[in-house]
Amino acid sequence: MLSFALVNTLAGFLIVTSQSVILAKTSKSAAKFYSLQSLLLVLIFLVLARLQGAHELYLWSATAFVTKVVLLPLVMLKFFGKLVDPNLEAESILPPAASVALSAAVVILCFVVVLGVSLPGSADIKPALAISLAHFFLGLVCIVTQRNILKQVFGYCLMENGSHLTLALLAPNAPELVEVGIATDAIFAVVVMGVLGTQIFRQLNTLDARALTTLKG
Amino acid sequence: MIPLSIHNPLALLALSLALFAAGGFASLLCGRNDARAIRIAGLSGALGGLSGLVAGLFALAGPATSFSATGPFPFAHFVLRLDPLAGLLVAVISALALVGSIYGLAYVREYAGRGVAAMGFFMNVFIASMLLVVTSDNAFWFLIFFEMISLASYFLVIFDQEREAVSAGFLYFVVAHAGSVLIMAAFFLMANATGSFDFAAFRSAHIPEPVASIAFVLGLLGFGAKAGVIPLHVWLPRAHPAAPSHASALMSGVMIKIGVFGIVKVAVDLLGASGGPLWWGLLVLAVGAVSSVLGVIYALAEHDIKKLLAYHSVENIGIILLGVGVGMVGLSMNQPVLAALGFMAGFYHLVNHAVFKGLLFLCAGSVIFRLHTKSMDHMGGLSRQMPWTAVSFLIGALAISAIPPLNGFVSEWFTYQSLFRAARDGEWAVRVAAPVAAVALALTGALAVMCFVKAYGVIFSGPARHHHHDVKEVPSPMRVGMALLALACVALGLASPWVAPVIGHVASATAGLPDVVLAQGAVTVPGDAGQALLSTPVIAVMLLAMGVLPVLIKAILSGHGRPASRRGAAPWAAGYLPDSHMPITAGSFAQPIRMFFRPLYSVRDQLAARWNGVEHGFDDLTAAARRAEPRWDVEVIDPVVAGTQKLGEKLQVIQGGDFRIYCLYIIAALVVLLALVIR
Amino acid sequence: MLPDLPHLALAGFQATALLAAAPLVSGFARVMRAKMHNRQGPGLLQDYRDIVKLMQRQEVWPPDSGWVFKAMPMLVMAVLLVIATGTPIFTLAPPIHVMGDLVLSIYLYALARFFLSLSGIDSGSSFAGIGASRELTVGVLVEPTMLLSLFVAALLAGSTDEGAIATAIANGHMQSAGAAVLAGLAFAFGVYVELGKLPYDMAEAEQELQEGPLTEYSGPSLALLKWALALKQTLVVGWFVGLFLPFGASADLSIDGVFNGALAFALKALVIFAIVGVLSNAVARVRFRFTPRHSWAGVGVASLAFVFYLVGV
Repeated sequence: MLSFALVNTLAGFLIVTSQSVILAKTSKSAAKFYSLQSLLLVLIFLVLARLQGAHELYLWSATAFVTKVVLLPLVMLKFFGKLVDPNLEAESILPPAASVALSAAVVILCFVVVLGVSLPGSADIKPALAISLAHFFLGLVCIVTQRNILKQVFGYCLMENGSHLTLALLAPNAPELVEVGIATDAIFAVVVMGVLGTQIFRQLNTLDARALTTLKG
Repeated sequence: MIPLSIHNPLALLALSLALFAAGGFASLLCGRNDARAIRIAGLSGALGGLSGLVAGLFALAGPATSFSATGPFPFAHFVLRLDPLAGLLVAVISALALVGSIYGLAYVREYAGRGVAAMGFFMNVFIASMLLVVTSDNAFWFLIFFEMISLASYFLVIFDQEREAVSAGFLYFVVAHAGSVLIMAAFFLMANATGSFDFAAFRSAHIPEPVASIAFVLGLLGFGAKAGVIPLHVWLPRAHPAAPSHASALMSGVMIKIGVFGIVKVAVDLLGASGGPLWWGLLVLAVGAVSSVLGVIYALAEHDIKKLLAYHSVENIGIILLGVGVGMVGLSMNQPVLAALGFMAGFYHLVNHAVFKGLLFLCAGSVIFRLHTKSMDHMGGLSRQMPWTAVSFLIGALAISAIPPLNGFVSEWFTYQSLFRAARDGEWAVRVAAPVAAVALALTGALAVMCFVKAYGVIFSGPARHHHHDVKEVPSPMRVGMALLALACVALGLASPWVAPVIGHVASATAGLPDVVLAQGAVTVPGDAGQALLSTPVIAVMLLAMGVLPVLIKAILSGHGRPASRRGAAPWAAGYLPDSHMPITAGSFAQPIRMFFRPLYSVRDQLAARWNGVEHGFDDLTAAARRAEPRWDVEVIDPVVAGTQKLGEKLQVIQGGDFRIYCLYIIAALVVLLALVIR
Repeated sequence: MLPDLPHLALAGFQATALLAAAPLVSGFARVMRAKMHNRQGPGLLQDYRDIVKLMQRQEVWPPDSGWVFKAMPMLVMAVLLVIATGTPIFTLAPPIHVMGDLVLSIYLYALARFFLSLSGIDSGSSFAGIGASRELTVGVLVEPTMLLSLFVAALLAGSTDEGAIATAIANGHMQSAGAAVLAGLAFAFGVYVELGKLPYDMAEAEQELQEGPLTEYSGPSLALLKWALALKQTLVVGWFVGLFLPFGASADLSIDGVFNGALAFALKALVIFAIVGVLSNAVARVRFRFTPRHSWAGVGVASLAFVFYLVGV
């Protein structure tokens, strides 16, 4: 039963959760969905660890659980819970159906790209690899299509998840320190962006990304 | 330091320069306090002039002394050389500065409230730079001080701030700078041939022929423009009248002499004492003859007293150049006595002209000071109300008309004698040219007599044509100034047997010739007693002695019973009631000469038209530049700018301002780059 | 070189003799005119009588005149007397050697002309003013001729000393006789114009200008002025005679030599004034506007003399 097929299946579920993160209406629900996604990620890590006999991955999954499943969502809930902007009408520039279609298109594209890649030991996990690459771009899609600046944080976290998964798939024996680095990076990024978000809300009294146009040329 | 002793002329010169500089700056610092500025400028000028006069007089006899220091550039050694010629010029400049400063103590009050402090500064700078020019022994510093002269006197010329004064100043500026350019070219030619800018190098090197002649002609033109020879004189009759009278006295009395000094320096001192080709001297002679005749003819047509005097300066520069020309001819023909005689005549006339022209300008200034007009037709009958001025002007008029026994006659006599000697002993070209020059000189003399009879007569004699009833004599500083110069005129004339050898020594030293016998006892001799004799003291004594006879006759023969003399009611007017328009005016007095010499006057009008063209040319040039300047902007710069802006506006679209787009750009760029690399 | 006593005595004698003889000259001119007009005439000594008479009259000054007007007659007479001491008339050498330079003579005449014209303006009279202007103009026009002819003569003699010129001509030591003759002719023309006789009496133009600068004079001043002008005429002719016709003049200072020289001069002056008298009464005055044509003719003759000198004819 433990086979790469399980990994691929779990990765497929990842797409669902990331879609939910993207389409979530409030930050709170987005955080919860993010937590779920991270849990799935941890499960993938565990399976991979078992399949490939990479002991580091166990440690990785532990730390990922602590930081991404528990800690980060708590931080997000704490920070973002206070920031509510009732004036933000449409959360997304795309209707939900279009958003899903876009995500699907991104995933298919990544599949095509990954098919051309030939790396050692990656033939079985090609679907998962494609999905992890796709997550990177899904995070970008989240950033671009969501008008709520808090969603930008989630988009970033999605991107980060995707790169985490890619790393785990391709380099299961990478040392501990890499995982710690990734985890720390995620926390700090979220904290900083949270502070920024709070400041922006205080200054501009809105969470609309379209209000931040100082960089307009 | 140079020892400050009475026997060290350079030290005294340095003292006088320091006094002028200090006085000038102190005057400038006085700001609005006019009375103090006048006093400071006048006193410093007088003291500086006195010191310079002593320095010049002491330098006349002795060998040349010099002072050198390193300058800012390797070719610009600061060398001052006080040789006899420089000493003569220094003495003349300082004497006029002394008298002018004393005169200015009262005269400058007329300009009170119009920046008198600046006038004192510019006067002192002007005098100091003239002193430095004549003693400079390096071409670089010579040119710098030469330019300073032009600049300082420019500000004096435009002092009045009227349209005519400013226009005259502009013309003066242009001509002075054109002259400077020519002089610079001459000096560059000589420096090129000798490899150094020092006059000492020019003197010792032998500059080959075509270069030397070109340098001479350039120097003649450049210095001639400064001296005011025809046809480069157009600035003189406009600039000299515009300046204040004591400045005009200095400009006419000494500044134009610097032009002559320059010509002598270039031709004699620098380009070889062995003499250039004969045509140099003949050219100078021709220029002198033409300037003298035309100058006085134009003077006759003037009603403006200062313009008349300015034209006379042109005439007298011509006479000086006659003497210099004969000297140069003598050098070329290797006749030392002739050369020394010619230069001596020129230098003597230089000194005399400075004295009597200065005197005449100061007298004119006195009249203008009281009447506030320069037009002779609005004066008249002033000898009763301004007797000192009248007598001084009369002495000046007699001197400038070369009436014996005053100084003007002595120098003209020497000029005649030098021309006679050249005609007697010279080559054929000189034998033709010299008598022609002598005839020109005679014509000049007769015209000058007419002109000054007119000037004195219309201003001081006859009926009063002005409407001032309370005209009185001028204040004592002005009287003292005029009296000093009048006394100098008489003294330089009567003491000629003692003055002539001194000036003769200056001439000989300049040309590197042995001294010539110029006086025997109380008789002046033109080098050779068999040629001629003159004794101004004897003339003076005879005039006084013979003056007794008519007085005696009148006293003896006139009846004692006759009624006392009375003043009549009116001059006879052939039965008509006399009218204030009947007596002769300045214009009508000179009308016969204007009629007889009409072609020569048309020459002047042509020249004036040409020079007006200079002013218009300058305006046209600036207008053309103003038109050309925007075309580069309009046709090249603007389209480029507009195009760039349009391009920018089009590209502006990608900068939406939304940071999410920017993130997209970043990732897209990364993907593209990755794809390229992997491929 | 300064004059010693004999020379001073000669100078005094020459000056006073000429002064005394001057009214005789003007009297002679009046008699000649009268005779040519078929009249009796006033007599040779009339001018002496006129002078004495005028001396007794009252003097009237014009209202605007100044010291120049009052002093002029005496000044002019003094200057002319000084000229007389420097011109070789009775002797070949001028009485006072240092006064005998030709340039000095020309300019002393200019001094006389200066004050004569100045008094014309000073009087405030329009006639006198115009007369003064014309006097000076004629001086200008005639100056080149006189100087050039004298210059040529001086070049021929080798010195500008009038005594040297007179001696050279008297002894016949001239390198170019033709030049000397032409120079003499040109100088004679100049002298004629300086005499102020018809046709060249521009300054005094009796019918036009009422005697020009003399208009406003009266009494003793007029007497002195007329005397001085007569002296000028005598001197000018003496200048010509002394330079170009020195035959008979004394070579030394001996008493009979000087006396013979004076006699010779008187004879020559008589002949010359006779010719002048005939000429001046036979013509009318030249129109002032055309005077330059005549003066240029004089310059032409002098230039011809110069050319002859250069060429050595």
